[in-house]
Amino acid sequence: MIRRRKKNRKLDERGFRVPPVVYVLGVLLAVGAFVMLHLNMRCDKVGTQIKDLERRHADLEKSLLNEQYKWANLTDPRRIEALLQQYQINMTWPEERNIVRLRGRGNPLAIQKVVAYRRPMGGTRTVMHD
Amino acid sequence: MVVVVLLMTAGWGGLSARLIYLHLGPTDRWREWADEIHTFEREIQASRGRIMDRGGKTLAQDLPEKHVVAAPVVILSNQQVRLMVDLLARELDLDPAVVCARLQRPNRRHEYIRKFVPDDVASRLRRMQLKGVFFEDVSARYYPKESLMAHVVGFSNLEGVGSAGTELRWNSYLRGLPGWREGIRDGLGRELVERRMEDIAPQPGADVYLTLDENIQYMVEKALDAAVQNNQAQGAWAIVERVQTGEILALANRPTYNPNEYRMAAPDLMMNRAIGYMYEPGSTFKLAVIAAALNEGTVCPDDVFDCENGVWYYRGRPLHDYHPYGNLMVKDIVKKSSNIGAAKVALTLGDARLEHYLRAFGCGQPTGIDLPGEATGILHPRTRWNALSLSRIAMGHEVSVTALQMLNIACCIANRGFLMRPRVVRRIVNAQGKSIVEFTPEVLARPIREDTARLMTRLLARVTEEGGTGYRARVAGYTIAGKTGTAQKPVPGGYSSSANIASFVGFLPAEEPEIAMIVVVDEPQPDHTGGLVAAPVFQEVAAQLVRYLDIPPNAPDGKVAPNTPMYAGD
Repeated sequence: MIRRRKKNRKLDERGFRVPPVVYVLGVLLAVGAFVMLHLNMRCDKVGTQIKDLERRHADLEKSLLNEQYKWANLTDPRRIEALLQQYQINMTWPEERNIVRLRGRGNPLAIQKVVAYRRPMGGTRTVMHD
Repeated sequence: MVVVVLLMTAGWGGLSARLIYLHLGPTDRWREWADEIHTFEREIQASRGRIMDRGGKTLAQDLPEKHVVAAPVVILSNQQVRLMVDLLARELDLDPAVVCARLQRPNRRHEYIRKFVPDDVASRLRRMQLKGVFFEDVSARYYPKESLMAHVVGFSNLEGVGSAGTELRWNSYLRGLPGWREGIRDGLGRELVERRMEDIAPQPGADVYLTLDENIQYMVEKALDAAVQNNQAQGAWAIVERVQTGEILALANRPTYNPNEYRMAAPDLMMNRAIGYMYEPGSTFKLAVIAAALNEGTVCPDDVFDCENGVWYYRGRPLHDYHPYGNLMVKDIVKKSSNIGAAKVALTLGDARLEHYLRAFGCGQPTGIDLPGEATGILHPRTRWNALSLSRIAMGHEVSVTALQMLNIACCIANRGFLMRPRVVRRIVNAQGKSIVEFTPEVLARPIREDTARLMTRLLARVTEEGGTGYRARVAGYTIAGKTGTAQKPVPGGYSSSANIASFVGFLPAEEPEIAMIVVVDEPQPDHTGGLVAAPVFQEVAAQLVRYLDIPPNAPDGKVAPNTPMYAGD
């Protein structure tokens, strides 16, 4: 009796084999899906960042407006005068002789000349107010 | 096992059928429904531009605020009404009964507790994490200087629409353009920023820079307050203008109002009298009449007129002088403010020429200042004048002007005869800091020649000398050219014997004028003349102005500077 040789199915060339193109496509699809997923997550993250920055921008704008308002209040001439009175500070306009007018039109030399001229005059201080 | 398989098959089958139905059924309606839930469209409000003074100090700006809203249904279900009433009433400064009434509405999910709550108060409430209390972002218009410059700045209403003053006149620039946003929300109602479909940023309103100066305005308002108080006056108003450019440096009215609380202010307080109140100017108007006569050459400063010792019957009707004078030269008619002298000077001109000059000076028409509510004044056409009109107009009766018109005539004389358009806005700057509108000085007319203007200036400078009606307007070290005015207020059937309008209009330094100012005091008591009431106010402000604007003194003793001939041959 002839002993039949057992067939090695692994070597059977007639069996179904997935073409390499499908492998490649599958891999590409998977990579694409991961890329999409990654990009989607990035978009979510960027969206969150945008939202945070928008909120921060709005908060800063609000703060700026509030500070501008406070500053405008603080510099109100009525308020300044009331404070001066409160601390018994009496402000007067300077005497004409106490005023040094610098007409240099932004030329620093003009200012230097005045300073140089004033200093030898007995060390008088150049003042704008009494 | 079979049962499980059957159940699973039935379940999947049902879901599949539902899926197919959802896809093939009335999809449009469902899609709309889903879109309504997930998508949103929202207008983004643009912030309103600021109003600044010439030095960049803020006069009007938007401030972020919150509406505090409660959901009574939530608060009632949590049985926290009493706690909420106590907290909200205390923090928001409300009557607890009012808060309680608002929270006792079981079907309401949105009930305003208080609108326009300052941001810091709202933040304090937010930190308490009160269930059923939430906040809506809004912005409100605020005026940090309160009543300072109120009539120039004006106010905008709760909808953010300019309703008075600069806010109204320049509303189109100030309001900005709203933005638009379309997007998608998640199940919790949060916006998915990455899936925004349309996002048009709002364009903030432009900033308007005024020609007015906060400090000069304060000086003027303070002086007016004192004048009203000292003279028990009904009101007072004043304007300071740069003669060469027409820029208004200060414009103040009394009484006034606080634009932050405009809803509580009476309409009378909101009236900008300096540009909207017409009055018979009285003797200040003589400067226009005399200038016209000098320009036409019908009189010279040394010409003598008989002032009839105080009473002159012209066409059967008496004309009085405040003080009786005999013969006066034209230059003294101005200095002493003789009504009879001015009437006789006007007669040398005649109706046609006088009307021509007065119209050229801008009488009877608005100056075109960039503020709403300017009155035109009244100057009837000469066809409607009667036999006495010429003599009455010469002394500032039968004609009505606003303080601004009167000041503009003085500025015209100070500015070598050029009549400038007065302006309160210097420039408009967009949110990027770029200047989009820049105003330059604009000449309206030149009613008189330069030599006439200079001559008239010399005559007006004598008014503030010793013996002149306006000597109380003098400022040490400076020559002041000006004219006093005291006009009886018209009442039905004639003129009031007790109600007057006292005024002083002038400019300085007389030789090289830089600043002109008018002060008008309404019904002062007991003193009622311009020289006694308005000239000291002028002096008080002018003395500070010359220091503030650094105008060098031109005459150490306050008189006309020497070596400046009054006119050829003097």
